[in-house]
Amino acid sequence: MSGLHIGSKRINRVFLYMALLLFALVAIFPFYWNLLSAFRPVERIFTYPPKLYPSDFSLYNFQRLSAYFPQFPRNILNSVMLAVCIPFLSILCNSLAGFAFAKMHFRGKNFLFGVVIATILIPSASGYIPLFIEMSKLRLVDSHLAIILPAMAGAFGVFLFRQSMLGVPEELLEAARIDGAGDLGMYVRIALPLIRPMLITVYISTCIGVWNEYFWPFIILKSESKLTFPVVLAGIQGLLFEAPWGVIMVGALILAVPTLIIYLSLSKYIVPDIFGGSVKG
Amino acid sequence: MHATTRRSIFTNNKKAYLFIAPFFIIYISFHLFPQLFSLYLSFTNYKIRGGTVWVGLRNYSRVFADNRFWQSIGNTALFWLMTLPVQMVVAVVIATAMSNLPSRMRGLLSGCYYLPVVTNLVATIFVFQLMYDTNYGVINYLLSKLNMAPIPWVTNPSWARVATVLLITWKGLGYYIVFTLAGLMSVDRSLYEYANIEGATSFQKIIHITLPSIAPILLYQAFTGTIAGWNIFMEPFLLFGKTGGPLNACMTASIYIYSEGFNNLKFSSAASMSLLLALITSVFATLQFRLFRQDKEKR
Repeated sequence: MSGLHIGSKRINRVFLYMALLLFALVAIFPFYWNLLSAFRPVERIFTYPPKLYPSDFSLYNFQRLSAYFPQFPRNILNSVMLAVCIPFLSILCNSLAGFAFAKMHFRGKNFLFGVVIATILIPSASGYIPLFIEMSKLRLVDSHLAIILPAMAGAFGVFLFRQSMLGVPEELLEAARIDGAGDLGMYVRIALPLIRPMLITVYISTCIGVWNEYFWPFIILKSESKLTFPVVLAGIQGLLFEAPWGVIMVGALILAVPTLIIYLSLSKYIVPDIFGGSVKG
Repeated sequence: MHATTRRSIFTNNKKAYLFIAPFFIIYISFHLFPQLFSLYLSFTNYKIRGGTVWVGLRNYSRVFADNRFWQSIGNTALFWLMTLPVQMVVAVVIATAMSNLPSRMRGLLSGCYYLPVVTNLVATIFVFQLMYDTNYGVINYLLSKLNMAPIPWVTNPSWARVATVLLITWKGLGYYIVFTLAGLMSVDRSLYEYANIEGATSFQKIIHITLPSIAPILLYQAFTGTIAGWNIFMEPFLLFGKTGGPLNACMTASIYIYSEGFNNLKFSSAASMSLLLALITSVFATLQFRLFRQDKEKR
């Protein structure tokens, strides 16, 4: 009886593994399909039945890239520039405020922090129309500044930095003060190094977020030379009578690969710790 | 030395204002001001070149009478209800199953599950469009192997909704799994040992130990998921454009607001709609707290 029981448990376990693996397969299959289609001649993309394994290897789609995206290097450069600058500037802006809220004493502190907290959840979607009007009044439409400026300040970022900087020991700040450091010195030399893991996490996730951002750049940028690559790629479909699917798949690959590389090499900074419990048990 | 410390603790450190200034200048100009400006817009018939008139509540009464707006609200609610609860329940099931695996296996699986979360949506949409193709798509091909007829994924209104829901779920599920799993791994193991001694069934353990322990994480997911769900825009917009696909089946509130505002240049009516949407969103978001508190009281 007990032997049977163990047997059914083992079968259950096998089923469980299979189900989990199936889900994993579903999760990565579109990436595989993207890769396959990008290296396939375009007429092979639309054949029936579709071939599920690599066949008819071709670089033709890559060669056609510049024909469909005349400003391709420029667009990629724009994307990279924003994805590098914005995390840096927003971390600077938000962590300075976070430090002040965590470790400095000034009149109105509680009130101002209350304002930040109270507005943390205002959905940004409702702000796009007035923001667009504001940008057009400031003559910032079709400029990267219109993307960089709003992205520099975030209520959630301030909250996050304040929380983590609360944990910076007073004794260390005290010691730095005795060594003659000012407030800025304490922020640069004590607080920032102590929250380094969080800085990296915020930098990477903001960077990926900016690289993936589509809507606001799509709204605010007009000229081809200023567009980011996701906007250019998404725009190709309506332009032509028949969408060049081979080239589109190459573009999709180019958008996906950098985040995949960042994710695969730095996932411990992106994903919450899923191993912690096993040590505790 | 003490004197300086004292002073910095008890007096007004004016340098702090320099620290918070960059944030507040930008936050007020580009986040808070637009929201207030949106409120102003909703009471006017705003024209970008001047000639703006105060119209009181006329925009709102017009929006209330606008069938297309309420249709889009209905579609949004449908998407919210078809994605968030499903993702949360499936995530709890998968994460529970994963929590008993060897840690290397767990890491590998969660790595796979999380990949879609970090991937560019534009890239995702194009790949899915290719896979959804009725005649040549790989999904219908695989279904035909199971003896199923080809599904008109993007041309039939109902299937278009299903296609959007599947895409949203594919993209977001990993996020829910990984965070639920992180919560599960931090549950105190001794609670389970105690329950084993008491002779609890695994179902009882899930109801009385696991779910209460991860309730804060589930609440967080329900809360942020509700806000995101009611503002759903990108997936149906990139799949079907500003019309929302066949018979506007996937026209969400945000898409309708977008097309009214940026395409028809009805800034004021769009502003009043977006404020109504924000109101509805916050009602349903705070409702999540109610829901979870009641759960706790029942225990």
